[in-house]
Amino acid sequence: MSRQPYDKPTILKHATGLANKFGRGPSRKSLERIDGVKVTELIERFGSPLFVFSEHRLRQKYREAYRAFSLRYPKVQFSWSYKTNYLDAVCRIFHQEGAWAEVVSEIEYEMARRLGIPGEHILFNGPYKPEPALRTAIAEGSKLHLDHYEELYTVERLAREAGRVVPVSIRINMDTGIHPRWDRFGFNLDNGEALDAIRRLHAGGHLVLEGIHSHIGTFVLDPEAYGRAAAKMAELALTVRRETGMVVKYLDVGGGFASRSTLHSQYAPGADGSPPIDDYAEAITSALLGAGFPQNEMPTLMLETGRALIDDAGFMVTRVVGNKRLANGTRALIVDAGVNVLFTSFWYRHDVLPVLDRGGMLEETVIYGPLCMNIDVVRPSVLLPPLEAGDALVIRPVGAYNLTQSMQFIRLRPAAILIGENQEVDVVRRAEVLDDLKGPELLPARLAP
Amino acid sequence: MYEHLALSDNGFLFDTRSGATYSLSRTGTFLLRELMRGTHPSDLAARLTDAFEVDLPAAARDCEQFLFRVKDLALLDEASDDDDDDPGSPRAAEPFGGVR
Repeated sequence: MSRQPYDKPTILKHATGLANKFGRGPSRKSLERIDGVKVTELIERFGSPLFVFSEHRLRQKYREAYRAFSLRYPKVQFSWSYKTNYLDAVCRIFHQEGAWAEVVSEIEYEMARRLGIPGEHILFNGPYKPEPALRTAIAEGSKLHLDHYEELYTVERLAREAGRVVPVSIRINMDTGIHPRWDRFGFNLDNGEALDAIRRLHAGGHLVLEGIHSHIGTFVLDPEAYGRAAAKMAELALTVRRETGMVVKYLDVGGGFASRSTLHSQYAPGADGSPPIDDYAEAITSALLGAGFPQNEMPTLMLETGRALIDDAGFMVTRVVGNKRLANGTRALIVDAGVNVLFTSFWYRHDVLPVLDRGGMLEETVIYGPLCMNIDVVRPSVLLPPLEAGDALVIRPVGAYNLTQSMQFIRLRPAAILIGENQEVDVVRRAEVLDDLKGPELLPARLAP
Repeated sequence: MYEHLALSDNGFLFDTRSGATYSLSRTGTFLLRELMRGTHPSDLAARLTDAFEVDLPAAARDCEQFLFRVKDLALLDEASDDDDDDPGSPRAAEPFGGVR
């Protein structure tokens, strides 16, 4: 008698509860290749865990976003949000596509300069810009976005010392009808603080307003919130024009568009629930076009889109380390990539796909990372087929923030590779070695082993 | 000791005592059916390798885990828990390395 194909013996107790109103049954999905390259070959060559980025998806997303806005509005400029992912290779791809740089610290500023971005194409944001960094930014003509009064006074002093008039922008915050309302960055518009700050910088005589910036939140699922923000910013710009004569050259609506990722609190998958980029573009550009700017004074629309451009282009390749059955009967998997390299697992329900599905019953599974820490949970529950130690999984989308927020906590950080548009594979960040972690330390001689 | 269990060929299990229902994979159905026929747990791995494309060490490991799960779900007659000679008792599965 010929033997039948094998799958793990499994028994699942049926649970009764609320039905999924979307009627979505369990679906079997696996992912053998990323952009045509076999995942198992990537693991053989570069090890596991492994960050994988798709150049094709990065460029495609950028072009989709640029097209969505530039078709609707005549003057559009994207700036790549370095903090979302500042791998040189990633930044260069966006710069090749035409994006400027948006930085929030002096080291990000240096990164952009090292990649050949001139100062005038750098938007310098953030609540803390040390004075030396401000001096450099002023000297190199970068777009300074003032966050608070102390920064305004400092820049004004530096301008006075330099004997010149320095163009600046201010960051504002406002009620756009969403919660949480971000009011910790910039000057509040609704209580008049923003206009007061503009009057103050105008009165000083050493600063001139060239832009207004806002960033209303993160993973904002309501495009109309951006429409309301753009309308308020436009109204402020027109008020400034009337009161001071200063012409605001650009309005920067920041970032925060949702990607196709799924928040833990979302019922439907992000791929179904997140608005397309065109909805954001329509809301923002409609508000600007209807604001009443004179034809020859239409401000440039600046965008600092990060997550929505890169999240889908990033994958984490990981391997199963072990299987477990928890005391309450829940199936658990331990994998070699945890929250140390998947920080966004705390907020997002990432897809977890086996590279090879050998069949067998799907079962709700908790996925733990490799850290000896109770918080190291990659997915509290995901339907997966039986898997063996050594089997590979792909976790997506993880392109945004996971690499820049990754930690050398207990484990070293893995390599990152880029798959090119012709399926060429390049290491863009090597796997760390112990000296990368211990190199900066100094051991007093009296403590030497 | 399995009279309270009704197992269909396609892996649907009804526990008439508790009212609970279960789904089993093909191999899970095979193993539970063997147990219900009176196969001794120590023979399960060999039966599994006869019927399916799996080697003995992997089959033994999977049988051990499956038996533990069956026990954990309280599908076995409670009286069998203390009866090491009962072929349905996971405790009798020591050849797989023990389940306690």
